[in-house]
Amino acid sequence: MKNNMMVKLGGVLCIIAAVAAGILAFTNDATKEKIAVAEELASSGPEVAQAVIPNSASFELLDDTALLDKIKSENPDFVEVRVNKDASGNLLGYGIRTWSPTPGYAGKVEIFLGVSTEGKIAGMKILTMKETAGLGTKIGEPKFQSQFLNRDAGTEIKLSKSSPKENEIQALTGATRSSRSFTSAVNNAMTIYNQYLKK
Amino acid sequence: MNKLQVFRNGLLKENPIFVQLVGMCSALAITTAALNGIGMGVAVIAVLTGSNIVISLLRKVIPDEVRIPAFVIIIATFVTIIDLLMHAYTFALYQALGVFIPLIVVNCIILARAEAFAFKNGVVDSIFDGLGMGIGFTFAITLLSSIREIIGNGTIFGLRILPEAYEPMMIIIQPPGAFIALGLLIGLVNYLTSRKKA
Amino acid sequence: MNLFSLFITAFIVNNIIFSQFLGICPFLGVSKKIETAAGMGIAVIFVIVLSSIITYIVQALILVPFELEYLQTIAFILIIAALVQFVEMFLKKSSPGLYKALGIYLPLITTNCAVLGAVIINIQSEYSFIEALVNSIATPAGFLLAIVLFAGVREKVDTADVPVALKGSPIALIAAGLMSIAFLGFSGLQI
Repeated sequence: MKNNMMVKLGGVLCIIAAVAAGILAFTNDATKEKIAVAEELASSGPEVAQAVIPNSASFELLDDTALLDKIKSENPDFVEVRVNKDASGNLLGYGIRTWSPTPGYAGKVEIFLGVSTEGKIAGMKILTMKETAGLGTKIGEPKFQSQFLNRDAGTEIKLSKSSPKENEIQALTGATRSSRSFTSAVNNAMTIYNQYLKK
Repeated sequence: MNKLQVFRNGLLKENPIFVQLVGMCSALAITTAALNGIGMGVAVIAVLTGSNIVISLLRKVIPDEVRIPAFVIIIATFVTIIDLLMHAYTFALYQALGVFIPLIVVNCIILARAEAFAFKNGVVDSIFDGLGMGIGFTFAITLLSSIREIIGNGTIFGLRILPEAYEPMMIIIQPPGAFIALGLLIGLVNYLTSRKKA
Repeated sequence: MNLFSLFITAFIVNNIIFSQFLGICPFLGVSKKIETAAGMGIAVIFVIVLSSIITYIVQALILVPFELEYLQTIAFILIIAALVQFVEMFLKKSSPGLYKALGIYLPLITTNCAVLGAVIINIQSEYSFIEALVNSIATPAGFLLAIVLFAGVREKVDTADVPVALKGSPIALIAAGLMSIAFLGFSGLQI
């Protein structure tokens, strides 16, 4: 009697689980493409390209798989390099996508840094971060990011909590870890530029 | 209890956050910006109403002994569907809510309503219960988020309403602020409801 | 990241209750007495360590190779539910006193966001197996620390003269907030 009961109970659960899995498989298939498109747009669409280097009309992946693999093997936080060109096809600079070597408040931050052909920081965009809304997320705001613009990509940038000196930027009050993490990502991107991309 | 009473129950008298004290994890964690509150609230309304409907439909079929695992499977399915839909169609909100979307599965509100209501009542009643509780939850966390965003950032829904010169009280956006703001808010609700009774 | 700093980070710096807000329901619900709080904390350590191991293996050997990541939530929660069932049966036989004291809160460990949250974080942070193991011991140890400390505070607050509107959960939340400020002090800690 007891065995029969257990089979019946187990059976009902299995049927429910099977139906659930089926529905999920269907939904997963139905949304797979849309998700891929959304992820693609969020990480390399026109909006990102413009934020990385203004006036970018194309933002293709660097056509040198050997180099990309080499950088990846030597710099684990590196993700990819894209080439920014304007509408006439002139080279504007490079967009270097990297994680931050130093984690922020809630994990690593992923950014795209734009370095112009003159070797200066032209723009940036945060792709992934889980920092505290209203606090750490301020590293995504122009007020913080503008400190990095036009700096020479050959000089490491340091963090300062109060009065920033020549090669320092001001950390966000109450969000030092987020600021430090972002800065480490910028420095890493610049290192990659100097080591592999600077002509 | 007629349908309207069922609905209104969730809004005030048995508000999940202010009265029942369930669903606290998300209430404290994501309420740093008003937009997060609304986003999470809508997701919870969708999952809660959906799972209430299905569980109510299957209430004669699910054996009592395995009802908790059965509820969990059904709730988890709805959460995963919402997760996939948000990932595909509302990407920015999906990123903002992060790990808290799958955590809707263990949002005590949903399991509590399944156990206390949907398993024992008809489908239409369960719909009203789901909507009422969900909206009550959304109202509570949006209120909390707005307070924390205004005091801690000077903005609401990203719109600046306090002057730039206002030095935000940052602690309210950090974890301690969540506990204290919610505690004071519940205290206020208690005070207002006890005055109504008097 | 070396294992010791990982432990300290998960244990106090990113304390599961005071920083990450996972596990608040039992934190508020079971913290009225120190003994019950300690018992709950230990049960949670047990459940999280075991579920971390099993979910890690399931993710690595089944979900990823067969591209079934969308079944992660369902699979993980079922594993946790089964484990809690076993812990319940085990406690009933070996420690009936604790079993009775925990009461309804024992099956509710299944819905304790700390458990599901911890195992999902293991996967999302891309920890190695050893790192996940350390994290899964440190995280609920932080829960135990938080809930026992809080129970101690609550036992005292219960005898204090609190304004009527704040009695019960409001003052408990405010007390938790003050403790959270204390833990905030750890946030600059880098080992």
